[in-house]
Amino acid sequence: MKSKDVYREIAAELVRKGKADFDYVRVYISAVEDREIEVRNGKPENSSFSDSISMSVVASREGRTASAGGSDISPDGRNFLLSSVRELIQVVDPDPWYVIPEENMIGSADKKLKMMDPAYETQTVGQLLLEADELEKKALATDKRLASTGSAASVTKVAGAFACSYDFSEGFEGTDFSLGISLTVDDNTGDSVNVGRKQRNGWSTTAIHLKDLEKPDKVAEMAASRTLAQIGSRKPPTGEFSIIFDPNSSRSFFSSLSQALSGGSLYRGESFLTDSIGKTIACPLLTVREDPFLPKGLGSRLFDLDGVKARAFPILKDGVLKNYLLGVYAAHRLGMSPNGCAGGSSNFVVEPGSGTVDDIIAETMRGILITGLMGQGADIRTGDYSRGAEGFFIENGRILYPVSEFTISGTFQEMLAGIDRIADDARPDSSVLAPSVRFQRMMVAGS
Amino acid sequence: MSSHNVIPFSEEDARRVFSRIRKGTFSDIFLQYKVTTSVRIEDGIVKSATRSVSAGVGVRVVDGESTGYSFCETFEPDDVARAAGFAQAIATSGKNGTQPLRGRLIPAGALYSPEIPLIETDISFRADLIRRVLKGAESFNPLIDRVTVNMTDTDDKILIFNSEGEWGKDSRPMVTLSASARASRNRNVQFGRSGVGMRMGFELFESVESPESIGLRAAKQAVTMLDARPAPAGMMPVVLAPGESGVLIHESVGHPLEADFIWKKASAYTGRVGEKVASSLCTIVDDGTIPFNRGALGFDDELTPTERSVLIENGVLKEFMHDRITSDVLKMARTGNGRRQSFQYVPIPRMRATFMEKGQTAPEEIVAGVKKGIYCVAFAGGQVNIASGDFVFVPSESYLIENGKITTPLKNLTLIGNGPDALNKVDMVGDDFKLSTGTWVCGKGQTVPVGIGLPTVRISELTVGGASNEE
Repeated sequence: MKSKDVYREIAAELVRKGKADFDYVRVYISAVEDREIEVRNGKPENSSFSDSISMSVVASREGRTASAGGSDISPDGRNFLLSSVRELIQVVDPDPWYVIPEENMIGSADKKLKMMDPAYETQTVGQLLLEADELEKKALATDKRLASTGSAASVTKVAGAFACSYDFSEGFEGTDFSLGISLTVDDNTGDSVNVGRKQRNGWSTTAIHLKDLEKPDKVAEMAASRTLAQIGSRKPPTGEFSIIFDPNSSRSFFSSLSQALSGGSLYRGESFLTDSIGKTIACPLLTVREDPFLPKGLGSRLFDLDGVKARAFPILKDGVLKNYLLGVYAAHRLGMSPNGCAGGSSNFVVEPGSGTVDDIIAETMRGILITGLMGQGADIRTGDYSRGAEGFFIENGRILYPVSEFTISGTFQEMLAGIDRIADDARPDSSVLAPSVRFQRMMVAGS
Repeated sequence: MSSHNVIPFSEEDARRVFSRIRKGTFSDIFLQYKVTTSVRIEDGIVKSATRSVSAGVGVRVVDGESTGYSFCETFEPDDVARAAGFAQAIATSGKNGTQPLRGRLIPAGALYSPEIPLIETDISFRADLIRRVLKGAESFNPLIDRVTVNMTDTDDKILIFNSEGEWGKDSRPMVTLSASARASRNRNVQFGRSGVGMRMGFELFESVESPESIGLRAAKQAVTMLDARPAPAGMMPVVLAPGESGVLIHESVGHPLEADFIWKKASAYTGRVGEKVASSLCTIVDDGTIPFNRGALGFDDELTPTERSVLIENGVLKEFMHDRITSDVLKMARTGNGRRQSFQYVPIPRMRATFMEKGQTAPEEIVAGVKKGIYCVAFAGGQVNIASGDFVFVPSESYLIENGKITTPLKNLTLIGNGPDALNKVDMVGDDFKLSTGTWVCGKGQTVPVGIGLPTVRISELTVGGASNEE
């Protein structure tokens, strides 16, 4: 891996070279160095070390756009990319909506994001091995019934650059660290014909700076308690119930919402939220903002994939839709202004309410806490929502028993309108910061 | 073969790299040069075209149950040797065997030689093909107001050497075309999707399905969905149409029979070979030798020749799907299921083409026997929890069965079951087996193309997760 400045120079040079043939050129280079160790039963099972790079060129001429990519950044490799684009662009039709970004939008926001932790260097393969091994020992020590299916520690360093016509070029770099474990336990309770049934769960933590990772004791404790708590799980009854999403489930819901609000889905007519600016699309409890400048945020950035300067702005205010997430092309299609969201949201931040998931449970008379979701049944095009789930049945503010092999169904529209409680327990280790939420009512199909 | 033109790496080079690996019990070098070309239709025009080249070398050093891996993105022997150094970092014991003087060539066979080659064919040919898909969709019905078509073809050349002196080369073509159509009527907007994905050249559109027909299928599904009603919720019989419904087999029993989950004791099927795990009507096969199938491979990504593996025979568990490591550790026969997404990944046990064999009942008879249930035709996908056996599969086209007749189309549902439980509830199997020609991709940390298939199958009871609370 080379420095971001080297990549910046390469990217800028390629843009200069492409200028002769094209009206507008963008180049993106991203190099990734990655070390990962996985331990099982005290022995290293997998180690990997990689150093890779990818480079892409997107170029336009008379409204036609084509692109090419590869890992060869040598002068020959760069020439190959340009000649590929020249060949490909001949079969592309002119796009009547094609637009070149306005020059005054292009640039890098003036913020400090703290995306680089020098502790990367200290996380050698040997150190990762120690940490993964320690985590596994702690987790297995909590309960004799637990078995490990792998404890992993990894570090990643990214360096890259963006350049486009208008002589703009900028580098970027960052690190991230993660630690996690997956556990199983035999679960032969009940009269299932599935005599080999086990429960599997785990916990992991990710952060831009090493010291922000959750402590191994916490990770081990979470993984063990989540796995053990599922023993004896059964189908809940079929019917309508209050549904609570824990922070992990909530993250998946809000990340779908963020896609539904992204320019690409909207201009293609593939979102249930087309033509909704200014409309009430959710309950008044819900406020969401786009924040690219969270220090050490997993999605933080200074510019987007178009080279447009990043900015923070409200997305939903008290349930009313304020802004879409727009790149240059989608904004043009929709007759709006780009807001630094080519490629989607940076950090999608749901404003917290109060308390944690435990407080919501305590306030729930009858319902189901969802801790895991399965399947592709979240359709942002129509808003249809039907997914496999697992979790816990709640009555009178208490967890009664674990549940699995059931589905929850409704629509995004009903779910957004039906949010009646938001906690303040979002996990910081994602670019979607989503606390636990409760939906007033959803259809549950179980036994 | 042409792979030597684009991958300049000789047996002598391989030998030099192996000589630098001092520890471990086995090692291999996987070299790949892959060119991917995509064209896309949106808004009625050819909107974009993209080409990418992925080229590099993965080196793996195995030491008993431990695997070290590294890769580089050049074919320079020095870079490959450096990757080998990183890969052997966690190896503590063992010594790779001395190199046999003469390498043994493992033949790749001829399961998928393209008639109309991919990389050599002009880009304009691709543009013309996808325009025909667009025409097929648009001309179906005026309610169709948006069509998107994507076609991706991959020319994948690979070369593998291992420390036991084996080597092999293969050229693996793949063409994947998918179409999405939107139908609108008043404020009701619905979508339909179709696709074809095969390991072959562009002759696919002559021998398997025409571009117009692919477009038409997407359009037809979208228009059908305009009349769809919310699906019911609760337990009821489910009948699966032949072909795509093979998603059921892939999720419910395919993944849990991948031997890495057996080795890690994570699967509900661990230690159960010889036991009855499904209804006697179920014979389940994973086959890497079906010509032109998405899951076809002459040898897998670690040079093991593929085969037709019978996983479950008349309900009895016969064997698991292995890569090299699991077959060595578990002391079971190799099956040729070691696959990887690219040179950047270690091979792990993966499915090839997985299906249930046909039975003896006429499909009409199967549907006729259902009073109230669901008939599933097309799928958006599925997922499984290996440990508990719980799996979902998500229909994109399905119908209500009422009094033995297929009636109203349904929307917004997920089916959920438990693998061993659902397979015990298979109570009718049709005599109408079909392999899907769809664009199936399986994700397990890495993505690989796979094949699926099924005859008409009835499951006596499964949880149908719809949003309707009406009886």
